[in-house]
Amino acid sequence: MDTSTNHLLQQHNTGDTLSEYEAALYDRGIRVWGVDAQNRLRKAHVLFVGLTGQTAEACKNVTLSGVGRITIIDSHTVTSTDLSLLLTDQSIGQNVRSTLRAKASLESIKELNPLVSVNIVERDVSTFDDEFIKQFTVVCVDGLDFQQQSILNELCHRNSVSYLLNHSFGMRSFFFADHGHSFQYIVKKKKTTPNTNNKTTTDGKQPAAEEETEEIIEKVARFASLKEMLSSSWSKFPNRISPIIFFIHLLNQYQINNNGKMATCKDVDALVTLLEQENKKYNITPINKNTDFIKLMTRQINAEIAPVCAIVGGVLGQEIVKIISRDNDPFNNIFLYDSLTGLGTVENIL
Amino acid sequence: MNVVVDTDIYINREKERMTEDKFQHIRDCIGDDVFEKVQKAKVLVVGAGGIGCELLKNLVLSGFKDIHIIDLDTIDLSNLNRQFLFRKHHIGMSKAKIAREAVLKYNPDVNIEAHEGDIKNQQYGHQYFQRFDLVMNALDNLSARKHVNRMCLSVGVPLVESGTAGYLGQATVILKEKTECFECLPKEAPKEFAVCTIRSNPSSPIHCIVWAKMLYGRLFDVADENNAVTDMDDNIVEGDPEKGTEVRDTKLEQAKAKGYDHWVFHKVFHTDIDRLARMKDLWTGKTPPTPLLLDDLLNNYQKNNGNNNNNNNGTITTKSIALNSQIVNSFEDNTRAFVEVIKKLKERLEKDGAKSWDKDDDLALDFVVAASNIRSHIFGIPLKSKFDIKQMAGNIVPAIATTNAIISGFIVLEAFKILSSRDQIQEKCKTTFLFKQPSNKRVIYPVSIDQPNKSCYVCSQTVVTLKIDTNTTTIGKLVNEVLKKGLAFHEPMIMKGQSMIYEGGDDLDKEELDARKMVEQKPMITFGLSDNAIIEVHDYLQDIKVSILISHCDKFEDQNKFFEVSGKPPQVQSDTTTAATTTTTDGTVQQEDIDEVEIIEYPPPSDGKLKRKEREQDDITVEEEQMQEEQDPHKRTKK
Repeated sequence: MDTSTNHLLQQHNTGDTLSEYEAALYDRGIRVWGVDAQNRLRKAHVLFVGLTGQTAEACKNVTLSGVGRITIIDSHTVTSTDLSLLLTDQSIGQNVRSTLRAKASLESIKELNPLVSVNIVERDVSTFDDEFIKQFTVVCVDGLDFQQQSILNELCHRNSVSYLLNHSFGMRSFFFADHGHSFQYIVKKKKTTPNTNNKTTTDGKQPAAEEETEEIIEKVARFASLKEMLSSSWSKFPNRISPIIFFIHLLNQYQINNNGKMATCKDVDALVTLLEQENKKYNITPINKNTDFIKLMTRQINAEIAPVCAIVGGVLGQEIVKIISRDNDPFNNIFLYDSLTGLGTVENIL
Repeated sequence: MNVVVDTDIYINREKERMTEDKFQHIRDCIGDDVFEKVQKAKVLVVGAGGIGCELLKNLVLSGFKDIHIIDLDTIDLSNLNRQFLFRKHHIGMSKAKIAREAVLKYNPDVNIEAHEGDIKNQQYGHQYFQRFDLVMNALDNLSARKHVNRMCLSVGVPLVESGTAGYLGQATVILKEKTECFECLPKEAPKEFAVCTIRSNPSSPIHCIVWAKMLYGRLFDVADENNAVTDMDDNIVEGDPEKGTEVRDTKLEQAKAKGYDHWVFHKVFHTDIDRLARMKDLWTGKTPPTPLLLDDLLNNYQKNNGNNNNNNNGTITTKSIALNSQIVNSFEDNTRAFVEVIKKLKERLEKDGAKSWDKDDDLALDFVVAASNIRSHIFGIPLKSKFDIKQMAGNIVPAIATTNAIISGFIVLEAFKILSSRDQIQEKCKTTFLFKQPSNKRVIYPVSIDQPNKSCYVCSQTVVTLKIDTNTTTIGKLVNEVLKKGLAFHEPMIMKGQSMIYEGGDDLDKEELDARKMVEQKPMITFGLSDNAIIEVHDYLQDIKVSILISHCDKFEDQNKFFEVSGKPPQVQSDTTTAATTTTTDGTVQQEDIDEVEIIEYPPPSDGKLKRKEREQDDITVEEEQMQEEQDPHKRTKK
């Protein structure tokens, strides 16, 4: 399986500059993020694990942006409620029995942008090692198995591979980001300075009014691991943080308490009990609103709806482009979106 | 470890697939009653571009079953980075039709009607709009947005309006008498430049680019009497022939004999420049421009050819790797390019006839690059790369997939709210902004929608005041520049009291059309449209009637303007025309063509403060203030 990846690596056009066709195809992107970013995208390799509706949206965006290579790992079989933009009646086909979601999505991704080389790898997350993970620039996963994810996250963190974990809970959604202990990037600042170099006209020309210059600041950001984020104290949370973060913590706590078993939509009572315990532990006055919120979230634990997938998959896709281009401050470290309040915020949970 | 194939799981899943409702998740999330409304709703999507593609996909995946889509545009290569329903082999085909085919693959049971057409066309009148429960704009230009706004107001159908620009975007909801409409707040007009700046006194690259586009129009497009960029045979550089004081550029004739390239070059870069250089008033404190002679330049290049490697002389705009088109070519290269491209364009003109300027027409773009850079050189303005000139000349507002996807998600969420409680749209719906970077932690930020602006001339009965020179402005200019371009009427009819002064539209017979042409040429004053006159402008298609109070004015503070419109009641108006500047404008030059991409009307601020509206107080509602405090616990103590 790894050999097929290597094979594609060799096949891929490794020329250093964008072709005329690429420049025309990616014209608008280049105008937004610049030619440097476009070149970085071209050399990047993104791994998507689990092509859920939301991850499929991110995958579509990254594919369209002009990333070099994409690898898919997804052992899920298509079900009727899988509403991903990469799944069409055609790609699923008549024979449901043999339809793996990765396979059913593959052609759609290739069609979106034939310049991107896309391949499927059949490999369980638990077998990933340093050598395997190092080939990727970004790893983007959908999954709530926090024990398994913590292992994958540590592997990425150790190898300075960007790790993004996302999941949609129906009307709410989130993604967590860890780009390692020292993520280097730049921030560009535009400055307009009066043009001083030709105030006195040397060649009989009028001076131009002003000149726009760009100042480039080099920065380094440190990211917390998934484990650190999941074990942070509630008493340290900012006031008015979206309660989605409590729900994520409760799911992790549930898994720890139940020997690795994950909560399902039927575990409403168990999660409400857990909420009460955690409230006590952190000395937090219980809020009825939050109890109702946890009940609702539990019922929508694995639900996905198209508009929320489009929104968070869009923000996530843009974040992947930003990380690859290493241009501008990355979101550090969790994005929470609630379509009922309409608010999407970036919180720093350590 | 390979994927384990567990037969039992497969059988269970297949059963699940047979029995489970495809839309179970969305039912669970929005409720069965709202979902039933979604399934029954008849909706119109205006525009199948960047937002349109994403929106159609979201609608079909959300359970909408009756969708109309309209777009007049065809697919271009530069669309494919974001308009994900289209493929390379679709280039040149109808966006609406291909988008329909593509989304049917998600659900063949959906009824989608695709129209390749202009939403402003009469066939999409009241009866057409009335059929919909909801209209969603996914448009790229102001005039169509204003038109759909008025159509929806006139039939009382809710409208979701949206726009994007780069990383920024927003979506909002408009409903007659409940929310503010698209035109309740003035929109930023396209950039305008005074004709004298373009023709005589350019000071920045954009002035030369606009000039070069006009020159292209003058030479290679159909004749346009408003295009006064140059008169090809006029060789007078100073003085008045009637008085016998004229000075002529006698070399123009010789240049003309040498060929078209020499003729045009000499005319615009020598004769016209010589004439400007002789206008002493223009150059007080500055060095006047120097006219160029093509033969001298070419001879010089020939001489230097051996020791001057000019092809590598270009400067790169960014410090890092650049595209070829991002390299700023030298003046010499631009001169050579000009001669070359003008020959090709002349050949094309003779073979294929006139062609309007288009940013995606490479020859036309090359002409503007070369011509504008030569002019910039003459006036001491920095030269620009082809990449940058394309953006400026083509008014490109670059659009990307992610922003379009996010905004289309907002649109669908608002659509759910509209369908669930039409009576509470103003309370429940929101204007949602997308930011590039978190501002006070927020990346996605909803704000309340305002009630209608009582002084809006579109959605409230109000009198508009129009300041204009009634002696010199013709009816034709009033109709085209003020009523159509300025106030977005489609087919205006002007009434003064009981008499009809002007009737727009195409359904007139020849006699009426001739009469209209006569009217168009006469100044406003001829028909009694003078100071303090009140006219009524009707537009039957848009079902709008606006009363306009005319206020005569022949001096404008902003010399780029020749009229001013204010939507406030007339008594508030005070006469403050104390402009000291002399007005030399004979109108303004506007860049009219807009890129196929989406534009944003009021870009959200990035510093976290809401400055989205011009009105100063009562802007941030109580709810917003609460939200700001919720987000920032320190805010209160800072106050």
